[in-house]
Amino acid sequence: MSDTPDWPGDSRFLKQLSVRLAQIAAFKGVRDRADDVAQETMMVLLRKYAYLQDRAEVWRVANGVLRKKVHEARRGRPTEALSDEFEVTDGRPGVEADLVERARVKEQQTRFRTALSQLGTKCQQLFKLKLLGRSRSEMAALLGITENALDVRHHRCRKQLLEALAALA
Amino acid sequence: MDDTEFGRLLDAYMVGDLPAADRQRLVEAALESPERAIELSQIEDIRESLADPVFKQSLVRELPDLESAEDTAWWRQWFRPLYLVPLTGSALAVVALLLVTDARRQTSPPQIAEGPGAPAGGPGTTAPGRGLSVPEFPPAGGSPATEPPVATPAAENVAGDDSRPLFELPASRAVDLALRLDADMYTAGATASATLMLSSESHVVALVRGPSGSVRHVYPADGSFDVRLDAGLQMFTFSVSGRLDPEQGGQFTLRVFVVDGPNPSPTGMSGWSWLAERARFEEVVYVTAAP
Repeated sequence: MSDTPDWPGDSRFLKQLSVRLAQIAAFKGVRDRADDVAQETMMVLLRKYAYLQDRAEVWRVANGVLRKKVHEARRGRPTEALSDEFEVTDGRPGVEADLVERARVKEQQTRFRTALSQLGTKCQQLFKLKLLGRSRSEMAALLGITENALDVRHHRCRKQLLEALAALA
Repeated sequence: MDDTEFGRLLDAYMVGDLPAADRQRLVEAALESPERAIELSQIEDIRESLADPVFKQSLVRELPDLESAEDTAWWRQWFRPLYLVPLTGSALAVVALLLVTDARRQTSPPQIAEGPGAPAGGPGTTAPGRGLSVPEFPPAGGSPATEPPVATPAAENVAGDDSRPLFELPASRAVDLALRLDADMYTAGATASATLMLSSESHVVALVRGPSGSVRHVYPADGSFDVRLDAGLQMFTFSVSGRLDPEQGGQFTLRVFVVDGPNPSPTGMSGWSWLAERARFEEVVYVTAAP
């Protein structure tokens, strides 16, 4: 594998990513600034994370940057000033993360916990099995259902969870 | 990629259980559609929350177990111990009252017969087969209905004598699994949550030895030996004391055994022998108080 990542030179990928980031920003409640937030995210990505090789990792980091940009935009603070402040470390705030970042993560966890509490018992129980690292076959056996039925339940529960999260955002 | 496969990959990704190649496919699929991109972005948020092991562990504690999910079926409501406890308690109280009254009547001072009309079956006689001993009842002030409910696991696997050598493995077989319980002290019958960190994919078996030496197989809950868990933080729950344990209070030892590497599940030998031969272990001690 080459040491030089190919994605910064892949205009199709960059355009696709930028469009999706703008759509995600709009979904997360900054519709009027969605394009700006997406562009700022792309700039940070290219300036600070152009070394990333794995496009899945590029996506993950881009979402981390966007999440913070959206949060700041919703608080009414100019995201421009924050471009160099954040640090995304393995999906969690870094050691030097400021209090705002900690508060954001805490708020996100609280929202997630609340969304989970709004699900039915079957979905909550299914989610617990996932957290415990059970495989699909184990979950199906424990629940006494087929793996296809498990897929259906997963789909329904995930949909409910994401809807509940969106409503709480 | 169809929606079912996308959903499967999403679920695995959410809990950090997706190989790199599949992550790549997932992201490519998400970039093709705005709905999928938004969905994956929401899952990213969940992933960020779950990356905090303390938060993840607290969720595991809060979310309901399988048994409680089954108990919510409407027809089971009538058979739930919660409903049976007061009913059984009331029934026992009535029976106790009748027996005590009867016993007092039969031990009361002899009455002097005042003529031929004295009642048959006078003092000192007892009904056939019924002694004067009064069955044991709950102490005063504590009716059966107020006893704390004892949570018991769906199935209880009492391990036989074959499991005992596993508590005599040499110290050289000990391994650091960062094994932790959610408390040091429990009420008998309570459910405990254990966490451990696996450095690689491993078979995991957990046993609990009670104060009198009885051993229960508490993980996997079905008493098997072939559950293999992924590397990383893992959790399981178990009842701190067994229904059939002669002891309900005292000091218990949870010992977790792991067999890592390319070891297959036990074949051609008992699970106990397999563990005794290959497993490494860590243990943690906890105390229960009788309810």
